Amino acid sequence: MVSSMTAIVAPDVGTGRKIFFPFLVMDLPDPSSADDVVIAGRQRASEPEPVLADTSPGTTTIWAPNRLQRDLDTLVIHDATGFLDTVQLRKHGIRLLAEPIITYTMIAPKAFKISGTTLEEAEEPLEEATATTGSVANEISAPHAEVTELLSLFLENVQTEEIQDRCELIISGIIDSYGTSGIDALQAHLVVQAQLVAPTLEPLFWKFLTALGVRRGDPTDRIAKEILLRHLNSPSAGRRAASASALGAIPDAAVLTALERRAAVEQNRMVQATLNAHIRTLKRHGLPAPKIL
Amino acid sequence: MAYLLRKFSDKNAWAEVEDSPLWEQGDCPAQAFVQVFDNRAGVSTWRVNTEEEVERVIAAQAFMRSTIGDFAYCLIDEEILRKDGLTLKNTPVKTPDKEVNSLHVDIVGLTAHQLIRLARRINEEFDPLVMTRLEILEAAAKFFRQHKFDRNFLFSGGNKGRSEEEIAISKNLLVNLWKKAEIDLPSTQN
Repeated sequence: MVSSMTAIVAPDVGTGRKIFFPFLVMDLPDPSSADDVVIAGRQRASEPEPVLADTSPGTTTIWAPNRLQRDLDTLVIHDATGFLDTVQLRKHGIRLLAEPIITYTMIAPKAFKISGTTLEEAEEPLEEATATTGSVANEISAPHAEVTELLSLFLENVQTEEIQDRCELIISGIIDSYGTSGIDALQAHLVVQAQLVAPTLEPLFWKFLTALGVRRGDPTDRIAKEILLRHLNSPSAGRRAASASALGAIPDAAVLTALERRAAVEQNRMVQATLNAHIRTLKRHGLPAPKIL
Repeated sequence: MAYLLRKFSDKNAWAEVEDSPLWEQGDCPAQAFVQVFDNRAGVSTWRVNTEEEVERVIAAQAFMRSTIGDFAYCLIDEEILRKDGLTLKNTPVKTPDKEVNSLHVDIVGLTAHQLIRLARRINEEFDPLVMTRLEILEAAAKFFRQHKFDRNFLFSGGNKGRSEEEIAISKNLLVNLWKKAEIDLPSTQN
């Protein structure tokens, strides 16, 4: 079944390093062979769904984790077709290598030509495809690479106040540098990793929420506010407390209303104290007058 | 009546375990325990009698960190601790505010049972309070203007102070706050 094993390489514009995406190439079953179909069916049934994947065109697909590369714990592929085109792999399935916790995933490229199907796309010249893939990889890998390093720092150190402060500064730096892409990268990695190492990572999520409270201008602030308002009603008291603190930095009537609504039903004393403090502060400082359209 | 101001080093973590079933079992969740037993010397507190002392202690402590956020704390009735037989020891420390330095008190010689009982009291009997980041910055600016806070403590080297160079390369703290006009400092050095 396994035909070869190699690695896809892409330069990382952020760090200057080469990023190696290890993968395992497998022959796809031939639909004309009943035996192969049965085998494939069994294998697919035992394979978990991608942790976070959206296969619609132009969207980001995230596969995790990838422990073979210490500097790239989570592998991000913007468009799987590009990578497959680059290495000229057709009619092959790609299995990402990951250990010790494996989230097996099969990548189905857009131009996957399986005999017996009708899906076909015009082939891009190889050089053009390589250039496109490279730029996409560079564009998206920088914030993800920084988030990966952040996760290593957090998980490999004792959680002192100093380490947590440092992580908060790094998170703020990522959002400052990459805006909404930075927020996306942080969210994606934290959600994926939280499934694997929860609740270890929860304090880092709180730092992420705290960092969203810094005003940076739209569209970053708009996205940040949406995330914070969502977590203000999280089942996690820690996330509610962190969101309340961060929202306090947003002098906005909608935010004040959300804080007051939450305070009316909040049972956790610490979260309640945080909500009360920010409601008090927002009311004392006043809110900007609403725009008259 | 004197209170001992005790900081929650991680209010989000405390919020997460506030309703933990471990409390009812006479135990203490790890996330809370490490916030009480965070120093071999004892449990660090500040003796406060007035609202201004609360503000000065909090603002002074906030500036000992590399980032400034909300400050969560509780006020512990000193008499209750004395009745519990806990030993208090005045242990002055250095902060930007020379007058509050002498307000620092360590609760020392705690046994494991006493530590857990103290954590339980903090969780159940003393209301958590929060001073927001904005309130801290406002208070600090006021105390810098009134020269209650020593600007040189932050800018000159020495014990817990920061050199001009450290401040200049700092991604946060005073310079950033200053640049963003989040805090008003006297512009000239003494």
